[in-house]
Amino acid sequence: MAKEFKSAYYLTNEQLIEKYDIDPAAIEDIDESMGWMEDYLMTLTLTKLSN
Amino acid sequence: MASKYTSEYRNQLFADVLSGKVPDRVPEKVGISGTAVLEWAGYDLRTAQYGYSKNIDAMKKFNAEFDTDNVCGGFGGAAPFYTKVIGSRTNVMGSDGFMQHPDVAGMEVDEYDDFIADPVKFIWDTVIPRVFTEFAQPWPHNAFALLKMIKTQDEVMGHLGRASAECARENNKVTRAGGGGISRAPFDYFADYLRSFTGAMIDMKRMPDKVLEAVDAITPLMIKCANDRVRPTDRTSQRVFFALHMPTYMTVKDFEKFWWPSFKETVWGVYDKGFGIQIFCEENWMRMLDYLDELPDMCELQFEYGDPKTVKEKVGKKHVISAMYPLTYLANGTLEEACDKVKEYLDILAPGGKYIFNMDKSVLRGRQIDWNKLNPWLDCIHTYGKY
Repeated sequence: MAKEFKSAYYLTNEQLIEKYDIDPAAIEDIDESMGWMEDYLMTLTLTKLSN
Repeated sequence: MASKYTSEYRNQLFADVLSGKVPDRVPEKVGISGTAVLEWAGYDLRTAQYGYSKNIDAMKKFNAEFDTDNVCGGFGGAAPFYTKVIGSRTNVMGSDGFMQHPDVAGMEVDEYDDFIADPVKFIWDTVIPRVFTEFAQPWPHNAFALLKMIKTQDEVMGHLGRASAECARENNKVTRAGGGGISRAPFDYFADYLRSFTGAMIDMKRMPDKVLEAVDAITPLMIKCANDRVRPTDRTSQRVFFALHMPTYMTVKDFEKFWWPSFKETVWGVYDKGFGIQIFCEENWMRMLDYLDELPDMCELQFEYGDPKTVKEKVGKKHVISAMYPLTYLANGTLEEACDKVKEYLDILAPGGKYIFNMDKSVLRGRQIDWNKLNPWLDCIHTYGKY
């Protein structure tokens, strides 16, 4: 079983709520913007910037 | 030239073969890269790769001229318009304009523990500033470099993506989606990007436990980077691509210990998200064919070299096979010889379906093949490949 993906440079939606002091009720909404960006940055790191 | 095939017909060939049905004829997926298409159209790689207009012009002319099932051309890998702005040391333009990939190590031999503790943090803190010189610049120049890379790529690839879709519609080529993302074998990532081919092979002998720990730490990253945001609904059109690099340089014993387990875990991790799997088994995989049986059903396996009869027998029942046709037949010899070879491969690999015709490698340069042969050769594949 692969280890769970985890990094100090990758924020989960819960961590985004805490870091930017956002209303926790917005967790599904931030998944479409800031959460998407966290995943985008990871993909960029592991593809274009790992080449 | 006007094709006798419609996009719908060609789409169905791929939908059928990738879902295990015998299609009306063998679909073909010959790889002719953007650089070959640019040179075929008379453009100079030293300049034309920095923009999109010449690429689009070449792509439109090429796809109107040649009756391939799929659109050919466009940017495939590293393009200089973004490798320049980030100061890449791993992708640099050669003197003739073709992009080259030097063997650069981003991680030193005494840095394993830092890497294993948090690979992504280590990559950003240490590897990226080493490998891409513009990211080692002080604020705000490093931030500018990242912004320039992302926005330049969005701009250029946006134009090329729209042009490619137009080419498909205008020339009756495949219009269905065929990609879903890319990933890598964890050991290949480790060797290609972190320790280099040579460094990885030396470390494997001198510090095997550290290498295994590093590869283990990379595995969840490779699963994640395979288009993590997409929730696939169709494995035949949403497929993650792996190009395999290191196995054929390793003994089978080392392959079993260092390379295969993490790759298998990655492929199953990606498959379990709902994606189909497409794998290019680079070089000669004849020693390792039996391992491919451990992967999920219906992977599309592209081979470079090997005996087509053995490949068909060992992996052709569970998986879809493509490639192995020797590209040199389009460069040397007569059209008749090239077509005879097509028939030989089709006779061996086509029976029962699960076969996509492809060459052993992509055409990368304009001078690599005799273009006069291409259309009659394609017609031979399309006609003789009818079931």
